[in-house]
Amino acid sequence: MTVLHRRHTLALLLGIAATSLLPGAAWAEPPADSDPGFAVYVMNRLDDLFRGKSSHGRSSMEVKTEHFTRTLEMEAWSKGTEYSLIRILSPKKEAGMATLKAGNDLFSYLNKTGRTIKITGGMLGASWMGSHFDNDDLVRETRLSEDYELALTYKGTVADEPIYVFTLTPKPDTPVVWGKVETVIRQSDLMPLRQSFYDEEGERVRELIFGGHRIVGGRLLPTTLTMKPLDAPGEYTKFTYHSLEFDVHLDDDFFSVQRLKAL
Amino acid sequence: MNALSLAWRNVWRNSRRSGVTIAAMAFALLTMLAYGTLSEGMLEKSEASLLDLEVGDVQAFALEYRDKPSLYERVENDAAVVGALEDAGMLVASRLLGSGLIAFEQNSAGANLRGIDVLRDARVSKIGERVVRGSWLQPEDIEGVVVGYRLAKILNADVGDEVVLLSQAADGSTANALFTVRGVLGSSTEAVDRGGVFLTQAAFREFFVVDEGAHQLIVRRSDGESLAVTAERVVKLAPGLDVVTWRDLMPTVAQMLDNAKVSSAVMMLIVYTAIGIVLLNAMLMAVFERIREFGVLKALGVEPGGVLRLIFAETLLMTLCALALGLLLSIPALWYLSSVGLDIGSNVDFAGLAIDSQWVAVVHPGAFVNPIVTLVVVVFAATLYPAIRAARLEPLEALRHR
Amino acid sequence: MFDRKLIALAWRNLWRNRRRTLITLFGIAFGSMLAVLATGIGDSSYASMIDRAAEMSSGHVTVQHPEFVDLPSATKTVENAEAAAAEARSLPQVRAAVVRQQGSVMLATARQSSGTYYIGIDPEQETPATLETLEQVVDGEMFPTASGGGIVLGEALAENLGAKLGKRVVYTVTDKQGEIVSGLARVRGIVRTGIRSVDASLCYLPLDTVRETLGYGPAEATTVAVFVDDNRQSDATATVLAAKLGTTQEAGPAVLTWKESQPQLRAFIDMKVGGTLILEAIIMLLLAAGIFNSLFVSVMERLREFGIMLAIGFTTAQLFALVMWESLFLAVSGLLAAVVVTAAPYYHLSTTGIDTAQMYEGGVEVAGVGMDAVIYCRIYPESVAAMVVIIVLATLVAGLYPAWQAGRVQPAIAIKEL
Repeated sequence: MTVLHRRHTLALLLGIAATSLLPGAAWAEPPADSDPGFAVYVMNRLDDLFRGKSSHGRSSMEVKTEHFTRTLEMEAWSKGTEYSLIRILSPKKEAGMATLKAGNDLFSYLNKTGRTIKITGGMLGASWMGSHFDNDDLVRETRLSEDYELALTYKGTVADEPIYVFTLTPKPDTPVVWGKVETVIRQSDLMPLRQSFYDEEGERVRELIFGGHRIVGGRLLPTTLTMKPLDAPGEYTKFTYHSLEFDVHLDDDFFSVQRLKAL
Repeated sequence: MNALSLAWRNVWRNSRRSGVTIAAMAFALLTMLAYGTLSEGMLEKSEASLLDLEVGDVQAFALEYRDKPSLYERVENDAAVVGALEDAGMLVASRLLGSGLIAFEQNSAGANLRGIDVLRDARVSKIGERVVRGSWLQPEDIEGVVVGYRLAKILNADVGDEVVLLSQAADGSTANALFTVRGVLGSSTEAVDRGGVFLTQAAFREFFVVDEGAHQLIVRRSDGESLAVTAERVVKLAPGLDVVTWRDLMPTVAQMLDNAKVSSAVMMLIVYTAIGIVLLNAMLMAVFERIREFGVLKALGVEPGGVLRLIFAETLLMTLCALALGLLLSIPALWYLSSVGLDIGSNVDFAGLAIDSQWVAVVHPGAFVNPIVTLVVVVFAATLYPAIRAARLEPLEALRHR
Repeated sequence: MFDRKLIALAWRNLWRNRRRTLITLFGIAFGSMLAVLATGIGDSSYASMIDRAAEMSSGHVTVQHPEFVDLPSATKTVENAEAAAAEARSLPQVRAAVVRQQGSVMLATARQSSGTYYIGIDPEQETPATLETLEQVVDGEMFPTASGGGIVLGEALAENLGAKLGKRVVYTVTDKQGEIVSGLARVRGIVRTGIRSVDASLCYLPLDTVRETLGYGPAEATTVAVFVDDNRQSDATATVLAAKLGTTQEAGPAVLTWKESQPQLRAFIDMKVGGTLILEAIIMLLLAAGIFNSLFVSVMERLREFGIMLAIGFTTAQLFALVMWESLFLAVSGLLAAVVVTAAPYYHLSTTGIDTAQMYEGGVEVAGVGMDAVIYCRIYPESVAAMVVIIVLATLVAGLYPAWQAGRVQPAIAIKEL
């Protein structure tokens, strides 16, 4: 039985890139799409899209639910896979709140009370900052190419866009709740367009839509990520990246609980 | 000379024997009264303590709440509903319910937050009296919380400490605020012990950004009114709400109490039977010991019917004396039992039932009925056989007896 | 005092007034029967409550880390729980000892996530007598071994999570190092206890699988549940086990009896037992009153006879002894009569019992906290012994005054009582 160990995921959402990943540099040439290694290549690339040595960026998150609509402005830093820090800039009520990942620990700094709370097992189900993501999503990481069986199941044109559709089936013992994940990739630049998450009965439960593809901090990235829960029509959580720089100089002790308060 | 005055003289002629018999009857009566009222006291107090503490008699919720508890499933016009129920003479209080995290220094735990209307809540629930350290909430306190003792232990927090409450507010924002622990509750129910956090409604509303509405209404029934009737009244006055009785909410406890009632009834039966036997004993002897005497009477020409009447008259007189004596003694006895009670050692808190260390009797007017009726019935039934035997005796046989 | 003739005389005296004696014996017999039945019903219902509570929680005796009760976490373990269980099993009165792992967990499905508590069990070690819920699986089955996959959920919990048989559930726990770890399990079975709050939180995982996830040693676990044949052996068992495990004030696992881990149940039962004792006392008192009545009347009638006996040479002491012997014979005969009278109803009640299901609506379906719908009556030998002693003592005490009266007789006055 595979035991999943926590790895850094904030990166996936909020952006870091590797110095070594200068555009085109570390990506070996993609194999032909008929090659059996093609799917693995594409998924690795997707996994590593936001990964790297360090980063610093600003973004906003818009959450729409049945009961409220709000937008948060955030600033985030990360270093490798071990550290990341997100600080909320607005609205005023949450300005100054921060979430820190340092090693295997997740902390939340509460601005109003000046206290820092360590997030443990039972809290993982709680929603992060009111969004459709929970703390678990933030901390959990699956490596698509390792945790899923990959298959290229469709190659063609949809809405004038040539795409690939990869169907990912979780390996038998991977701690993943999905029955199946479908990833739609643009043929031209291998950018992700959409990921659909299905339960084991084949019903679509979540959808992640990638948009706003442009060059940021020297790389081509989707700058908007919209998560839609399909059992709550009309609801969504949308991340938009305003700016992103890579390979910024950050000390390890920048990512510390003390630092949280000083910010 | 009628049977009654003869009977009276007879009774006092054999004063020692009569005295003993009367004493036995009076004692039997007292025992039945004491045991009956204590039993009733136990059952009533158990039920009351449970209801007083957490559940009330009837509760009302928004329709979806019990299936999917959420901050948003509220009784929107709670103030109006509370007003309507109060106008109809009922005791009612509303509560706001939410969940979140409570943290103190390095420790944190899940919390069930309860926003209460302090003044009204005191009329429907005795939870405020269960504070063992510190004090209960003041109506105007918007920064204080009272927590369950196990929660306090896990957090390692005590009265005066500042704790953090963290949750998601109704508008999606992250609710986080500092509160001061005003008090710690002694053992009540498991849920409250482990995660109960009480705060004023004002504090709850500000924390969760819930301006209107409440999640739960707790209603107490009036004295003498049955549970079903109270529930019906609430349904009428608060249409469109999910109205349930405590028995629906806590079926296992309801069953346990029912079980206890059954055992109690069985025990009572046993006590009554024991008493019945003793009375039987006493009456049989009372008559049979005097077979000779009755034989003499018959020899003197008294008819069987006359003997029978005499015996019953004596029995009646003795019973009346016993009743008088018993009831007289029962006054101080029951007064003591119902005010001071028996000390059973320690407080019991079990599955939500809190039973005091003082076992107190509850005296209803009806509590006297069963013992008195039983006494009379048993005494007369017990007297029947020997009386008939005595009445039917041949005089010579009787004289020869013994 | 122990003169054979005196004793024989006492016996004969008793039967001179056969009716009175029989009436008194009848009283003693039935009174005793009632006391026996009442105590037996009590004894057996408390025993079943305790056993039931033991099965639903952690046994009659529980071995745990001393701090586990107050601060439950994956770090507070019994290092060698398997050895502790083996030690427990070696004790003759222990009918079963099982190792379990308990902790909090977050369960997630594609649709929902929920926090609850899990119990890691070895289904090959557990039986319905140690884990009641094994018989309450309504869908699917319990996972077969401790090291395979599988998860079993309470019905309401499964419904909340949208989890169905065979579907994935990801469970997340905090391991011994404080790290957050996850594992995958497929729903193997659904359990229904009938108690909604339990069904909304019940979660079973295979013990060895959980151990691996938590990074435990192969014998480590948080709890050892020990079950004894007779719940009254709990205290002794705990003491012996604690000694064997080397538990002291400072170190070693805590060995708790059900009384300590469930103090509320204990207080409840103490109170009920107290109530039953009061009942017994009442019955004894009533019996004594009846006996007193009988003896007293008998003595009063024989005052003249006693006077004559004194006149012919008996001593006061002998008269006293005579009546006391009569009293004793009453007691013994009464007890024999009691046995005869009690045998049949006791047998019926101890085997078949009274089915109280009809007495209230709801029937037998609802799973209660621990009182059976059928009331049995099984009395402990100690209780019987105690009652016998008390009856004999009560009878003797009841005889004291009459006997004393007998001894006080003045021969001349007695004879005049004609």
